[in-house]
Amino acid sequence: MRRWLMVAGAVLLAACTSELSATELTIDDPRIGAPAGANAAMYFTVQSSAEDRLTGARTEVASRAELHETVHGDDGTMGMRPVEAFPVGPGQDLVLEPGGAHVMLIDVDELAVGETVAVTLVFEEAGEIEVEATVVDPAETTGDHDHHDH
Amino acid sequence: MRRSRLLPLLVLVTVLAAACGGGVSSDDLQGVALAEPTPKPDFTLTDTDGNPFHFAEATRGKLTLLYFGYTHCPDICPVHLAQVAETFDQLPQVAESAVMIFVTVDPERDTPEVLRQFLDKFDSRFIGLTGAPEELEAAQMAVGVPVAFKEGEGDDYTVQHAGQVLAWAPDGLLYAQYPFGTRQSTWVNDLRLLSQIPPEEA
Repeated sequence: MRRWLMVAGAVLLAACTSELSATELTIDDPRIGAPAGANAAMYFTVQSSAEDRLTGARTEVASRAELHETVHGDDGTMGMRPVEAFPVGPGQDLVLEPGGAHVMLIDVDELAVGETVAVTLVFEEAGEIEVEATVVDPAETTGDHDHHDH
Repeated sequence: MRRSRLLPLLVLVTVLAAACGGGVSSDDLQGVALAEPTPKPDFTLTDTDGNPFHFAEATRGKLTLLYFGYTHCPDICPVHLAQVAETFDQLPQVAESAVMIFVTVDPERDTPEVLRQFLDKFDSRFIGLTGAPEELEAAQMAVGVPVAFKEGEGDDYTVQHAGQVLAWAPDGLLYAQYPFGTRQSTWVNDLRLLSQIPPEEA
């Protein structure tokens, strides 16, 4: 009897755990720095309860969207390099932010601050997820700005 | 002749300025302050109207900010420029006697027109400079930042370049640098302080 209960408990626990890990993936604060030149950068934070990889993006407002990473050279220079995929998973949020990982929108349309733009993000496991990104002043892409909610 | 009459006055001003420290100590600066402020270098490039721009002469007596970047740069360049533009908006009096200079490290794609359009998106007072590759290299060496270089092939190449903005006070000395990641509040604090350092020349 007792053994039976233990097994039942284990089964229940397993059921609950798999329920919880049923690919809970959220994308927070998608934002694009208002483009001044030919390209713009998009940033956001991804949380996922399962191992996954962001492998691409596309949007109608740009000819192409690529995953890029800003690299810091030993000599004090900064540059960019394309990245094939960004991993995300439990305990490993994917944070795209200025000076680091970003989605580079190449040959982007004119976008005004306050506008929202539909961008499709492609994940290996979770598939395609469309988000509405807000166009913001580039100074406000950092999350460090002096504006406060009233 | 005129110079020799001014000399004692200059010496006096310099001594006074040294004594008072211009009211600004590097401890008050939140940027990456230099242990020993260094004099402004000189170089000549071309502005977006096609006129020669003699850096030292054109910026004499002004709070001078200098940054090397390119208009296809979507990540760090716009953040620096937008932060300085925001600071100029917040400190209109400082902005009046300050210059923000953006030197392209991508003269191939950044024509004077492209450069002008790009900078106008931030602040139409920003000065854009370009030049032949060897002139741009000489300018970076004169300033003491690592020389930018191209990465990648084809039309979509990127340029790896110095990430910091340099700031000379009106006295012509470089006091601090502002790496990527500088907070908006740092810009406001430091540009206000640096603008208060009196010009050395009478």
